[in-house]
Amino acid sequence: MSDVVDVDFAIVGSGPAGQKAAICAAKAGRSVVVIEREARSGGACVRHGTIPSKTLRETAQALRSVERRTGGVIRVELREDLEVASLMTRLDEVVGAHQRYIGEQLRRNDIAIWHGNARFAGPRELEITSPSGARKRLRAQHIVLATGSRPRTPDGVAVDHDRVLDSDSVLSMTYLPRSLIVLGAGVVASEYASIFASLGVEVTMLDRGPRPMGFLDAELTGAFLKSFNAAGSRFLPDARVTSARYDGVDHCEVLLDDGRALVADTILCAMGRIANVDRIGLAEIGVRTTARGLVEVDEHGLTNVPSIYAVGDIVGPPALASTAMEQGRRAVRHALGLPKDRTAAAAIPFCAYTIPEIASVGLSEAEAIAQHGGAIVGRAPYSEIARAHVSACGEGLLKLVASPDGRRLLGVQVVGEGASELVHVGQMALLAGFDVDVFIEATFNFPTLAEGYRVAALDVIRQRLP
Amino acid sequence: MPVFPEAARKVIDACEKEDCDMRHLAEIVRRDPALAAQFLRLANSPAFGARSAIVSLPQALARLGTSQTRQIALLVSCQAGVFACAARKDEAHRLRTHAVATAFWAQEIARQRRMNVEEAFLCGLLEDVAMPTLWQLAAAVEKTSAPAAPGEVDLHLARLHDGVGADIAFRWGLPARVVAAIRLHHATPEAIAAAGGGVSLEATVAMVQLADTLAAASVEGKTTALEAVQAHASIATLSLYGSELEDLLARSEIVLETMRALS
Repeated sequence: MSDVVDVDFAIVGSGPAGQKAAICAAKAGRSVVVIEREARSGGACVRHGTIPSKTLRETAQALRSVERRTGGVIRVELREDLEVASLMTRLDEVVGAHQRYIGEQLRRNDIAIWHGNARFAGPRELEITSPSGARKRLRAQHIVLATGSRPRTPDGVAVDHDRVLDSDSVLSMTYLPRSLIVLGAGVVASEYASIFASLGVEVTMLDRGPRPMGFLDAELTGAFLKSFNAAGSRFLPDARVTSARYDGVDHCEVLLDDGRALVADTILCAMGRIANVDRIGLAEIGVRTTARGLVEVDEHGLTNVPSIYAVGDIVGPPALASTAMEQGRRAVRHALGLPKDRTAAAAIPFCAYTIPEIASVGLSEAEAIAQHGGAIVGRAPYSEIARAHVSACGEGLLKLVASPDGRRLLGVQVVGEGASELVHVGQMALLAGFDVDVFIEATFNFPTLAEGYRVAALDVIRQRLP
Repeated sequence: MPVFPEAARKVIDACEKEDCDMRHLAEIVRRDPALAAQFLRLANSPAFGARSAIVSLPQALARLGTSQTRQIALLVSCQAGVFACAARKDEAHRLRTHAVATAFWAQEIARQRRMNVEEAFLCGLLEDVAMPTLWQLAAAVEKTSAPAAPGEVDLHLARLHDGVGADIAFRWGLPARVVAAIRLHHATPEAIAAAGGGVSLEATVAMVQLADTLAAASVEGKTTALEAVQAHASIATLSLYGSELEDLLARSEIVLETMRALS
């Protein structure tokens, strides 16, 4: 074993959280080593998650929009034997470009990348084992854990990565199935369910909750469900899975605890993810974890061990790349003793890349009522926005959540095409502390979806008490 | 140019159909006695979970399921056709056994890495698909030419087999990544990266290369040691670590059992 290498920061994991943590530390002039267990940087976000699923989603979206935007003049029929890979022909290009960009960014900032598995040898020391079994040691003033998560496989679900897939293996399927059962109704489940439904697959999504993405505004998820059902798919609420397996003959079967049996070509199990904390040796150095296997941290991402921070999926929801990046940056700023940013945590946006997209920032209607004793909500249905008609966006809704007097902007929620981009207008207004009236005073390009802000703001003003 | 095995094509097509039923499938298989015998033998082997004797083809096919039926049809047809070579019977036999073992190991690695299991099977099975054709051609040429130095012909064939194999796979209409993996299965990491197939192709080729090594041990009835796998050139690309490799190597007995059932 070689001598111990000393650095200021050791970052375990090179996904979104790890990247931003590393870059933030390097830009402050600190020496940084990133430890990555895969051959390339990027984490699950690049290999199995965000990037691949969004690439497939873009294709699905484009195929459907051709038909919609041409008023049905051009019809898109997918061949029955269509290879899934052919819908993602750009994937290698997209993933390659992303990994190149991440690698260059890390190198440009003099950040070393070690390929291997990390395990604690002490509160400030890691042992890194390469795939070939070679070991070396790294000692750091600060260690940031950003090891991400992997799909959870509940008892009774026989994932074989062939016919019964999880959210890491779902895009490895060769052909589009005729039918798909999606177990779970969180963000990942809803994204894949709506993508495959848009590609013409008969999708059944089921969950023990009453609606998909139950933590979101019910009006938004209602709009999502309406569109999902219109594509010929269905959502089964209050469904508890007792077993899910390939029958070894020709179909997959899901049994529910009320005796119902469902069959389909393929099953996708997307019933949550578990934090990758089991092989780092947290218990040996006394880092506390929760009953759900997440690392316990404070608002800065600091664990109960002063030299160790944890960020990203391993600290729990919302488990989004955008949030993870911000957590990584903030943890390092705290470790360096730098002051807090102006940007409030409450203004970190959320987006589910479902079809249609759902995005939100700030408080939802329910949260505003709980925190402020009431709220005025302005609505802009896409049917009242010229650009939505021009672009044949289909249904959508933009909601502005204002304080009970209808002055202060508290939150923005959008469901519909372009929601992931559109929400940033609201985010800037929240960060700047603007009143709702700013959307009336400002001039927007015409026709754009951003005009929805004006429509919704007018709706808020209409409801103000005289 | 060898043709894609006809029996396999029919079985695969039937398995893909929405209304595929086991009686229809059994009819197709029954027309090929060699295939029918193999299906019955396999369905009765411990590798496929036999608990009681199975005597009818529909029963056998129902036990195996459409996925395994597809695979077995391809395996058996390949053994009888594509991997047959009158000029070099013993070598062809060894090649077939190795191809089957590589196919099963490729599947296991794919499962471990969340890669496409069906594609992995094809890549492993067909990595050396060109060899029998090249042996046959070489035998024909040797009849009319001056004798070559010992080993010289084999050296040439070894150099040609990946490119020719890829051409065969391409003409059979196999997925592009399978074609590329066959072409590159002896290539250096630099050549694989230069092929422009991205990380997924790099991982696929690494998977075939590791499967090939594991298969070589399985053919001899041995299990590869963990240290030997850790030292394999493809391990860094696949990023498989100690405990995952132990899980993978624990599948050795299943691969050996399957091979025994097929032999």
